[in-house]
Amino acid sequence: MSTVFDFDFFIECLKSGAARIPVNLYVAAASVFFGMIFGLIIALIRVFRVPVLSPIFRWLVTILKGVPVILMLLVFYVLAADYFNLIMEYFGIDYTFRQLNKAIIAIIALSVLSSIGLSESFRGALASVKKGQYDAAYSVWLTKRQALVYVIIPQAFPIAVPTLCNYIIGMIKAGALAAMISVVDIMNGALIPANANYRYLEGYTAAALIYWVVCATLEKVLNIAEKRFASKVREVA
Amino acid sequence: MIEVKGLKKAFGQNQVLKGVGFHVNEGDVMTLLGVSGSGKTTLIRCLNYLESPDEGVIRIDDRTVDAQKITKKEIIELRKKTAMVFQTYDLFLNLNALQNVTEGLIRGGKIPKPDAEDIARDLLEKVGLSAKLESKPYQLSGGEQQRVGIARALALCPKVILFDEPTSALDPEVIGEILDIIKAVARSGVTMIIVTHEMEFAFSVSNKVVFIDQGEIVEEGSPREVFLESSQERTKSFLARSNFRFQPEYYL
Ligand SMILES: Nc1ncnc2c1ncn2[C@@H]1O[C@H](COP(=O)(O)OP(=O)(O)O)[C@@H](O)[C@H]1O
Ligand SMILES: [Mg+2]
Repeated sequence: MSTVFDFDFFIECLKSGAARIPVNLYVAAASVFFGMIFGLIIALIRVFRVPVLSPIFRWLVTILKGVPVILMLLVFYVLAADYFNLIMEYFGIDYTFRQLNKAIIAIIALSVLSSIGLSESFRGALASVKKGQYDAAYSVWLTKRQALVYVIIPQAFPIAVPTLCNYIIGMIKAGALAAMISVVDIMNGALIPANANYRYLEGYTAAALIYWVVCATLEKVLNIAEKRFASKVREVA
Repeated sequence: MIEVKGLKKAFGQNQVLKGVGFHVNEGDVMTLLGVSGSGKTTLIRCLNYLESPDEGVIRIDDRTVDAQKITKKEIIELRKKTAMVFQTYDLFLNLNALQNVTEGLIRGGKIPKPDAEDIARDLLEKVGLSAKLESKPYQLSGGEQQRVGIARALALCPKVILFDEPTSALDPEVIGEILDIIKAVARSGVTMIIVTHEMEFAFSVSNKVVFIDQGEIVEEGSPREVFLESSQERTKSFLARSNFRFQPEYYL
């Protein structure tokens, strides 16, 4: 440990971390994707006050909204560690927890959180569509499903886009927490070389730089999408 | 062709319709008059089940429904006899003028898209909007939006078109144009029920006038009978407070 900051070693960490960018991207993409689907379903159930389900989700959302990401990840990890092997054995599948890609656990845990969060955002967006739009849709013989698909959701979606973009960024960052459940993401990737010789400063700095570049790039791309949808929002405002 | 019997509707404790009945013949233009809050909107919204009545029987053309045992399928079928023009236009904000007209034809009427577009272009031309087919509602004035609203209703070729105060949200200078379009539609023989506060228009366009007060039909008859020969106190005081001034040329 001659120098305070070993630049060559830093580059090594950078390479090792950057190789894991796809892991963060697919964990984030999958979590937001499932979050959008289930978030929309939950939002529709609550907006239309579906009996039984609506109050159940109201409670679930209230409870889960307050759960920190790291806790959610750990809970799912511990659950999987305890029960995965039992379930696989039950179905006679030769596949153990050790072999399980831990990124799947991260995706499940983060999907639950993004479903909850996005359901709140979608609910607000759906509620902002005026009642007259439903009336008009029904008056030209659309069914409820058709009204939602062709009139209501296309008007509500642009309103939810900014939150959605924030969620994508948030999920990339949450990927760093997935490192806690031994997902080899940008963070753990950058630390692999450091683990060998305890030069953690280079490892963490490399991870930070990669995160910064990924998020900044993504933010640029998402800004373009947001702009595009902002003009749609003006149409329906 | 339209027959309504014993229609009742309450919002909570507020009994808005107290057993309303009337009938309309094919080709009739019926205007529905009454003070604000008398239940006019609720009544015509019950006809296409945008509002579900609590009790009563509605027959439109060959379709009869009983409010107490109506099914979802029957609601869709009843709606397919009607179309509506709204006070606040209520165009689909995410769609342009042409798509506003074709949407119902394609999804609800199951008409192939090219045919629907032909119908829509034709009707939008009739209401004077050929130049604005691609315009979204936010790019159209109130009068233009209501023209699209009328074209959207006409496109469906319904048995009856329901108008709920179609000019109440418009600037005074364009009201006349929209009323002229509605008159032209009336002359073409389409059955219509119109809620309006434009008394002279009601007098000249309709062959049947219904006066409703506090959820009950007070009086119905020809425009002459209701406007000029009514013996009902409530009708007379309503007309006295309205902007209707008898103009001899309307009835000579
Ligand atoms: N969706 C609703 N919920 C509760 N009350 C309503 C609703 N729609 C109308 N009302 C009430 O019903 C009465 C009649 O309203 P409406 O049919 O709109 O009258 P009009 O069209 O003749 O002005 C009013 O007292 C109004 O407050
Ligand atoms: Mg009204």
